[in-house]
Amino acid sequence: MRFNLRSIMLSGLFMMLASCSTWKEPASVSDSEPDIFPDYSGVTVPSNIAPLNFMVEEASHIQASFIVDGNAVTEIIGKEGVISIPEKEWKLVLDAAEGSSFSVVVSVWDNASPDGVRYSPFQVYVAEDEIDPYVAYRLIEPGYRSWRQVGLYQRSLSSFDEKVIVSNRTTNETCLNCHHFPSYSSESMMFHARGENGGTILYHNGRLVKINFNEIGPKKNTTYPAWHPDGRFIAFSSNSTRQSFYLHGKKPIEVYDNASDLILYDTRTGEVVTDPRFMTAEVLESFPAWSPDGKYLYYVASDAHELPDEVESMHYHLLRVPFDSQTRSFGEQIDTLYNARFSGGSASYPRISADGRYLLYTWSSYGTFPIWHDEADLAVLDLETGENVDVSLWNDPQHADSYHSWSSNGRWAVYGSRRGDGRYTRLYLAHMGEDGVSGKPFLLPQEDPRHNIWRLKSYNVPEFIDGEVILPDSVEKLFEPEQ
Amino acid sequence: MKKISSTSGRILTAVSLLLFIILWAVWFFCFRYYHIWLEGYSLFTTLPDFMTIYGRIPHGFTGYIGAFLHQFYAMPFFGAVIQSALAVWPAVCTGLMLMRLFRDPSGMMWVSCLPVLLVVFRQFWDLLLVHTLNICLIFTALLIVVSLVTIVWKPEWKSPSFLSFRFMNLIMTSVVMAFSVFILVFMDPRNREHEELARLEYLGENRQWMEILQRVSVQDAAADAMKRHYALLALSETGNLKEYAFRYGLKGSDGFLFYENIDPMSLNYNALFYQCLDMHNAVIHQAYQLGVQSVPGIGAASLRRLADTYLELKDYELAKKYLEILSHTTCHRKWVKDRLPQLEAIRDAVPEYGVDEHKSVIADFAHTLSSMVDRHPDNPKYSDLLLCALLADEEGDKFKNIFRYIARWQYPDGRNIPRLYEEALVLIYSVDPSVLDGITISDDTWNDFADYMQMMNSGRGTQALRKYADTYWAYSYR
Repeated sequence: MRFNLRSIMLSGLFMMLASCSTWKEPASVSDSEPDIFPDYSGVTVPSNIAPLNFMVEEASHIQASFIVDGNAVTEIIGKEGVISIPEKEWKLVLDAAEGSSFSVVVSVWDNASPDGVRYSPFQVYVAEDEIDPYVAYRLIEPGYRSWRQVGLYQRSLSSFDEKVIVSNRTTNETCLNCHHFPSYSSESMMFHARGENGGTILYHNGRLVKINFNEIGPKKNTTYPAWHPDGRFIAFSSNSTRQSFYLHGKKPIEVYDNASDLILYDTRTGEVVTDPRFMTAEVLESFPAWSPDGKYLYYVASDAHELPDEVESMHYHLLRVPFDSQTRSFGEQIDTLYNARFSGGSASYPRISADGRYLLYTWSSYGTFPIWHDEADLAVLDLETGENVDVSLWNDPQHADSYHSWSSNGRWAVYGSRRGDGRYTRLYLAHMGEDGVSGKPFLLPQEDPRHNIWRLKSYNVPEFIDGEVILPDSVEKLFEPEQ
Repeated sequence: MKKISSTSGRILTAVSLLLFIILWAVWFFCFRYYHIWLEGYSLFTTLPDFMTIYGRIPHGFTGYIGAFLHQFYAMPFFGAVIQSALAVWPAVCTGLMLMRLFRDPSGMMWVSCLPVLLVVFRQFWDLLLVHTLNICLIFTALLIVVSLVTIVWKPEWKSPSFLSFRFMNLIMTSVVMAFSVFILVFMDPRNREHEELARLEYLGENRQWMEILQRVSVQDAAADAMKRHYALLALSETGNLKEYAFRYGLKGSDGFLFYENIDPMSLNYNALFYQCLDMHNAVIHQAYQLGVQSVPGIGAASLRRLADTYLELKDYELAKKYLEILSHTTCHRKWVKDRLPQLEAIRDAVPEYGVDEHKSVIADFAHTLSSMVDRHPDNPKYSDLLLCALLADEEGDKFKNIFRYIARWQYPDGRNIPRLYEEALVLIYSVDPSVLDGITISDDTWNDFADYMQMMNSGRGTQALRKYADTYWAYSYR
């Protein structure tokens, strides 16, 4: 009797395991593609990206074949509707498909197809262009006035490892924002810490310092940074930012600047350099960005208006001014690259590709904080021809696509988009070929795709970096109460 | 030997049980709503981000266990069981240690009662259970160490005679019980105040407005801002604001909401207030703010409100997100299941956020309510709040204009005007007679006003103010 019971139990266990892990033959075939999350169909990915794990909702059984040149490189059976691709197998797929594509054949068993259905394969293009190994970002609840946990994080793009660079647990509960790295270097960084004992933290040449800009030079606060490629200067916009909360409508918040100017910080001398043209109350300048050769400073500017009542009249132009690092001075001529008065809308966050050719910015109908504007989209200007480059594939017309950065080789862009649920910003990676042709973007892969739903933080200010940032432990000391 | 041990064991069981029952009774009967409030402030899920947060904060492990336990506080019976068990556990550990170490500790089992006070002393305001659980863990660790050591080495010490008095078991248990009750119920008056506020929050969440008005006396409302706010909200919800706003201590248009406070109770009140007014964007904003105050960045109360609000707004993606997160908690399965049909029904719906061509912003109270009155001039809830706010700010001209505007919808025949408005109109009439064009003031109000003025003019001002204490006349005279 005991023997029989054990046999039954073992058989049951075996059958259970077998039913969980057996490759099955679906009863039917569909000519449509599977409804997978995230949508990886037709995307272009770098050859060093983490596995594109995906899921089909409510699938009781799911299996996928990864096919390159007609050969199945690997076959994966999922769990809980999720296809998790082991890194080794994924590497084989990417290596085999580099420079071309692979297709994925997904079969699903669910309530609608209890006997299984094999869907039409979807393609994934694998570019030869690699992507930087890490992306840094801030994680924060979207759109609050107060905060509790804020942190700057770094994520390996070839794996799922996410590590904290610095969190406000270290910085005495301050708010952290505007992290920035010079020329993608993980050896240097800066960020602002707002709150008690806060300041601007600069980690450069192995030294960690806290600067209180309200106490030096023109005593201006500092907001959006741009570190000059030679590492000596940091241009800042100094913004007096406010938010209004709307009573009705899908857009709950409008963020605007009551004032904003541009200043230049010399890390060598500790001085703040100003140019009277960028310090007027009549014009609001913001979002500085350097050209890769450091000879131009790009920024946006709008005429001042009565705010918040006239916020819809705030249209920011895209401008650039020459810069001479020897004399620490800006040139006379200011070029207008995008005339908001003429073209309509408003430009934010200019970013120039590493080859100096493409200028990526966010277009919105007005204002300066496009992540709360559903109409906000990315736009690219070819600085050689002055023509717009078509990046419509990168945008979701229904939701905001905003803050972005170029990769160090200029072939990839990372940006935030609210296309998932309209509230929480997630990171998307998009390819642009040498010919200026853009590929379909893809959501930053997660080990479990549902992490994109479960995470209750927004990704903020994604920046590519060339390695893992390790801040000295002494960063904590910078926030200790002054004696 | 066995007999001795079993005697000690019986004493320990009796002492622990007695302490447990008394503490349970105190927690359950005196702090029933505190438990419910704690559950809303906390959140336990097995999602990776939450575990990371608890892994990072100080005392993360105990905080995570605390969050797990707090889930069950939604049922005060179990909340009280957990609170009491946690307080008694160090006593049990101590008793067991005494039994391992001494040959006959039955006369000194009273010593085991003492650690209860270590827990109880800080238990009420140990909102994350970190302190409580740390003490429990320390005593558990000590018990394990003593047990392991005494497996190898059995000391069987004789109980010190100066500690061994059997009668002390009863006396010390009684003393500890009494002292525990004193600590929880009487020592810190904030405990009972907090329970009362938690009760008001519970009543508000369950729309028991009359119960709130019965519990909050006029004196309470004058003395405590939270009670005043709940009373005013209850008046608004029962349609009585226009009669009794000043009785319950309304002193300005900023008296309906908390503007500077960021504590969970104030933020939850704000969210509830806006929810009562169907002002969804404001509800969402306040719910997020409330969530931020919780350790994991979002609390159960905040999540539930967000899920319900997005369901109401027919925003499928966000409603689904929050329901999915709640389904990863231990105690919300049924709550989520009950809402799945509603979620399914809005799968393809267009979210109903509404459109506001004027881009009204959430600003000061009068400004915000003006926008609502502008959109819904026939809604007495909005207009009463606005008109009372204007009266509280003594903005006679604005009151006059808004009243004229809403009267077209709500008092088209110019009759049956609420008492406070009649009082204000009568007062304005003395400087602007046109204010009563097309309006009929009741005889009672005219008579009262004549009486009030007569008393004021005949040197009986104090009597008049006492007699007409609830009126706008008295308010504007102060």
